[in-house]
Amino acid sequence: MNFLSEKNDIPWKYIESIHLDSLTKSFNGSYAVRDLSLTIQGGELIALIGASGSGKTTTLRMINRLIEPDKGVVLINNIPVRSIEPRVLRRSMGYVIQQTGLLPHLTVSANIGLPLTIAHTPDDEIARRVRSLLSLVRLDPDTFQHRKPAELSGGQQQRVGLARALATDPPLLLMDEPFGALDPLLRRELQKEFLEIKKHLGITIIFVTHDVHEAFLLGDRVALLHEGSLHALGTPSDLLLAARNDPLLSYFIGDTRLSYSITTPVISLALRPDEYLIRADDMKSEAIRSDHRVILSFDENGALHGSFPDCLQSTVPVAVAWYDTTMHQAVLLCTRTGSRVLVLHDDPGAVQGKDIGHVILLDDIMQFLFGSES
Amino acid sequence: MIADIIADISTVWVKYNLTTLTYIHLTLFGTAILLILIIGLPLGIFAGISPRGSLFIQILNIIEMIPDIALLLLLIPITGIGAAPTIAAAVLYSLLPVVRNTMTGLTTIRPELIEIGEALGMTGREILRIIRFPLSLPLVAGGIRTAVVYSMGIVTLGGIIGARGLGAALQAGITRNNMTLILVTGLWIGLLAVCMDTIAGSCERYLSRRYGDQR
Amino acid sequence: MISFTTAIIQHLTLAYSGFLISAVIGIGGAVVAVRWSLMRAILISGSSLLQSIPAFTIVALVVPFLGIGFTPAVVVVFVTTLLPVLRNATIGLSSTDPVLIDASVGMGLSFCQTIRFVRFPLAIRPIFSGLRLSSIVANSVAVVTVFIGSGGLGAIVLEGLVRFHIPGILAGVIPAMIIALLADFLLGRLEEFCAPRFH
Repeated sequence: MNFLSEKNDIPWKYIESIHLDSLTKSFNGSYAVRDLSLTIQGGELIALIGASGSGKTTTLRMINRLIEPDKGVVLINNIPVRSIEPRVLRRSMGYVIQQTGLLPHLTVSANIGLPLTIAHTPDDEIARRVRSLLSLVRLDPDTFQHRKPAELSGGQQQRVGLARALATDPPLLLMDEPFGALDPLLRRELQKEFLEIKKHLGITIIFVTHDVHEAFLLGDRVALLHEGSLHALGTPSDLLLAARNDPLLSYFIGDTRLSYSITTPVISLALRPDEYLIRADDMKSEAIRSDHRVILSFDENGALHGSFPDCLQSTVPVAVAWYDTTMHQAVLLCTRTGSRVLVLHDDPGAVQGKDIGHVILLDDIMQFLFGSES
Repeated sequence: MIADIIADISTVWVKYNLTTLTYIHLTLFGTAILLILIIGLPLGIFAGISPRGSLFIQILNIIEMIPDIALLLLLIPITGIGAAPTIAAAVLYSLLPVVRNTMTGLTTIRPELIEIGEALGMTGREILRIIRFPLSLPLVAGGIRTAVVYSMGIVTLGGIIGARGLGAALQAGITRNNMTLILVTGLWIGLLAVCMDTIAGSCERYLSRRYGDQR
Repeated sequence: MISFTTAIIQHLTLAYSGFLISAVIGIGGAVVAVRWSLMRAILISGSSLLQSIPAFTIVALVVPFLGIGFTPAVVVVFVTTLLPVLRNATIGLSSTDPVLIDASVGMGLSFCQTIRFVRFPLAIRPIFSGLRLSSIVANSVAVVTVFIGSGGLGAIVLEGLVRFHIPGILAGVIPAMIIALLADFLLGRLEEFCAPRFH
C-alpha cells in the first residue's frame, strides 16, 4: 500500500535505478565528494563504506537534496531529482540517522505516524499502520505505543526510527550509520533483524556505514569511497577477491575475510554422490543450499563433530578444523575429501547437538583465505 | 490578641477600599500580561525564525537596562499618568524576557531534529508548528514567568503615579504613617506576587516535563 | 527644593552603598552555600520566591520596622539588590563541572583554593549577570525610596510629579537612567577584565 503516489507528484512508484553522475561537493574549499559516479539497482541494498570524511554521508544527503551538489546530477529512474520539489522528493524516501532524531515530546506512535500525519492520512489508518510497523520492528505495539523516546533504550529508539522511515511505505530508504551508536552485541542483533526486514520489504536501500562487517553482511553490493570518490564497487565476494590486488581495499576490508558470509543467491554447490565439491557460482544449488542446517556435537572425548543431515540421503561426517566463537563460525573439514566448508551460525552458545545455522560455502574464497591447501 | 489583629486588618481593609484596589491591581496586571502575550509571542517567533533576530534582541536589551521606575516616568509625557503608562511600561519592560526566551527556545533545538523534519519533507511552517515551537515551550514559559514578576512590580509602582491599585494604598500608608496599612497592604501584595510567580513556575515545570528535551 | 548636585550625590551613595554591601554578602553567602547543600537549596528557592515581591513593597515594609530616612533606604536597596546577586552567584558557583572539582581536589587543592582557582573564574559570567541586574535595580529603588525620605534624585522626580511639571520629572529620571547605563557599562568592562580567557 503506497501512501504517496496517489496524492503527490512523485513520478515513480518503484525504483528501477539510481544514477549518481559525477557528483562533486566541496565545503570550505576542500572536496567532500569528488566526481563520484555510481549506479544503484532497484531493489538492492548498497552499502557505502569508507573512512570518516570519505564522503559517504554527503553523498547520501545529495540524494534527498538535504545537500545540493556543486556539480553532477542524481537521477532516479532517469529523472533528475533536481526537477522535483525537495519536499515532495523527501516524502518519497525514508531517512534514518544515527542519532535517530526522534521528537522527544511526541509518543512513539506520534513519531512513527508523523510522515502520515503531514500527508493528511486519516487517523484510524495511521493508528493501524503504526501498529503494524511496530510489529515489523519487533516492538510490541501495546507496550510501546504510548512511550516517549526518552523512556526507550538505544536499540529500541533505532527500531522506532526505522519504523518511522517506513511509515509511508517508500520505495527508497536512506540510512546513515543507523547502528553506529549501539554496543556490538546489540548491533549484531539489529543487523540480523534488519536482514530479515530487508528481505521482507524488497525495497531499494542505500546504507552508509563505517563498519565493514556490517556492510558485507547486509549489502547486496558494497561501494568503497575514498577521499570523495568511488574506489571499489561490487558484491562482497567481488571485493574480497579484488582485495588481493588492491592494497587500499585490502587494508580497509582487513579481517572481514574471517567473518564474512555469502548467502544464497551468490553461492551454490554441485555435488557428486561420493564427495563434496565446493564451487561458487550464481545458480541455485541442487544439493546443499545455504538453508541446510549443520549439526555440531561433542563426542565422549570432547571432540567436536558435525554433519549435514539433509544431503544426499546420507549424512556426511565432518570434523571441525577450527571453531571460533567470537566470529560465530566454524571451519569444518570433510574427512572424506578434505574439502573445507565454512559455517556461520547464529547462536554462539549453542553446541550440544543443536541445530546451529546456515552453511556457507566458499570456493575461490577458500583459496583466498587458506591458500592452496587441500 | 488574634482577634484584635484581625479586627485591625479588617478596619484598614475596609477603610482604604483594599478589595477595590486589589481588583484594579489585578486588572492592570492581567491586561498587561495579556498584551505581553499577544505582542511578545509573535515577536519572539518572528525573532526566532528571522535571520535578523539577534539584532532585534540587542535593541530590546537596551530597554531592559533602564530602571523600571525610569521607564514608567518617561512614559508620562507621552501617555499622561494613571493606568496607561503603567500598562505600557509593564508591557515594554516584559517584552524582552518573553521575546528573548522564545527566540532562544526556537533557535537552540537539537539540529538533527530539524534535519529530520526537513528529511520528512515538512514545510517550514510545519517544522515550526510540530517541532520547534513545542520544544521551545519550557523556555517560553520561563520568559513569561519573568514577565509576570516584572509586571507585578511595575503595576505596584503605578500606584504612585495615579494608576490606583494596591501601590496607591502602600503610598498612602507611608505618607499617613499608618503602619497597619503598610503591613497589611505590603504583605498582601507580597502574597499575590508570590502566588503569581508560583503559578507561573508550575506552568514552567509542567511544560519542561512535557516538552523538555532532556538529552 | 533640593539642589541637583546634592541629589546626585545622595542617589549615588544610596544606590551604590547598598549595592556594594549586597555584592559582598551575596557572593560571600554563595561561597558558603557551596559547602552546605541545605543552605544552597534554601537560598536558591528562597531568593527566587522573594524576588517576585515588588521592590516598592519592600520599600514600604521597611517603615514599620526601621522608620523612614536615609539609613532605612539603604537597607531597602541592600535587600532588593541582594537577591539577584545571591541567586546567580550561588547557582554559578555550585554548578561547576564536577569533573573539574574532582581533578582539583585530586591534585590537593583545599576548599578555598578550589573556590579561587576553579569555581570562581568559571562563575564570573553568572555572577556579573547578577551584579549588573542588581545595579539596575539599585538605581530604580534609590529613586523610589524618596517616599521614605531618602532624598536623592527621587526628590526631584517627586517635585515634578506633584506639580505635574514634566521637565521636573525628567530632570530626576534621566540622570538616574544615565547613571544606571554608565554603571552597567563599567560593570561590563570589569567583567571582561575578570573573565577567564579560554584561548
